[in-house]
Amino acid sequence: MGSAASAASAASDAAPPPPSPAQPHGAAPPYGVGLAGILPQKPDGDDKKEEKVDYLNLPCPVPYEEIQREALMSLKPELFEGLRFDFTKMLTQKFALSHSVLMGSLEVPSQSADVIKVPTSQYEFGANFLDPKLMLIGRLMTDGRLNARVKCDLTENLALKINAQLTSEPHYSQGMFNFDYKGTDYRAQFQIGNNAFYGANYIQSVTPNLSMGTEIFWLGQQRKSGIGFNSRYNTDKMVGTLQVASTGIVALSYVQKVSEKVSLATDFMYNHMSRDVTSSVGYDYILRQCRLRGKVDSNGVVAAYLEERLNMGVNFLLSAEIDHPKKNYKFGFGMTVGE
Amino acid sequence: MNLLSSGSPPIITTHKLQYPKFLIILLSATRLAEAAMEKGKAPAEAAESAAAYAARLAREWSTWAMKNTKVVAHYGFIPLVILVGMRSEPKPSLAQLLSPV
Repeated sequence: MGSAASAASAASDAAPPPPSPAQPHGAAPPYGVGLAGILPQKPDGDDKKEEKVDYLNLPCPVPYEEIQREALMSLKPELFEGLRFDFTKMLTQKFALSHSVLMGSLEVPSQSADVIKVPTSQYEFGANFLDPKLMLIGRLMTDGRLNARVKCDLTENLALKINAQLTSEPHYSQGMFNFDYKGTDYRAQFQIGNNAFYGANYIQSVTPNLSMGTEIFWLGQQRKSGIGFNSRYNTDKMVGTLQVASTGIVALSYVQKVSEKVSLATDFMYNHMSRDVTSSVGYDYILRQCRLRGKVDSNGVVAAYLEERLNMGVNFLLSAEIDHPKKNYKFGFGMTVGE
Repeated sequence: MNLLSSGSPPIITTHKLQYPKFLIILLSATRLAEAAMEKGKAPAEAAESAAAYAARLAREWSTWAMKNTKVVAHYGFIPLVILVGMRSEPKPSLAQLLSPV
């Protein structure tokens, strides 16, 4: 671009720039008005294909734990059973309090093949503070469990994330500290967790569409370590990811954006240790007033989730999950008030 | 957490733990070990070596620090968020905080 700019200024010095011809595609000429009259005008399509990839100027990749985010958003909605009511009250643009009530069932693991459900109800109070530099989210339940998330930008490229679940019972709390460094075309992360868990991962953009990453972790208490690789290929229309780990997991996912409103996703996971294979196919319709997601699983599970916008700030939720082999049927309905 | 979340959740969630937050252990252990080294050199009690004494002190103090950090975080996190939120611009009033509407 530097050379084009200097050539444009040289050309305009040499001859007064002719009035720019009517742009054939309505797009701004790539080299400025002066050169547009001199160089032959290329149609836009050729410009895109012939654009040379600048390997020193690749985009920053998606964070390592989010490479499958499109597939997870489409295939794993927050299914629930029972009644759910969420109320969020915004006190300022950045600060909000939330109250959430859930009356449903809890599955108790049982020896027989039957599923035993125990009715349960919970109330959760939450406080959120969302700032571009500091994010604090806390959720407190009636049984004393606190779910805390902190994200703080220490410098422009370094961020600290803390994720903790604290309980009143001793020895059941968990916490994780993450230090994220964002480079021009790579991201690196270092994690420290309870039970002497240490992990690190690194992801790099290899081409404008492809990014590849690697991860290692070490569990102190059980003296286990693992290493994993993943890669993500995305264009405007599709995203494909692959993950392989030394814990014996291979996971693939593919999301195709069929149109502005519809996307289809599929997911495949193989666990070598337990010889478990799961595959699912789902759809995601994002319409003006609602969002409908549905999926079918290879385990015989069919699920659907509907969020309908009734009014400004009022959403109606319907959730269904039918597990045909285990005859476990879960239906839920709810409402979300507030942003 | 892709590997762990899909492959082996029981390892993290059900195992009993002794040290919830390791970041603070690393910082305080080094400081306490240095202080304990100086304490351990002066008296001539040969019951345990200076290094073992330092390590024991570091372990006990860091366990104490961890336990109390967890309690402080458990009780204080939500009040901290509310405090930070009430001080942000535009400052909401206490009535807005407590009213249900």
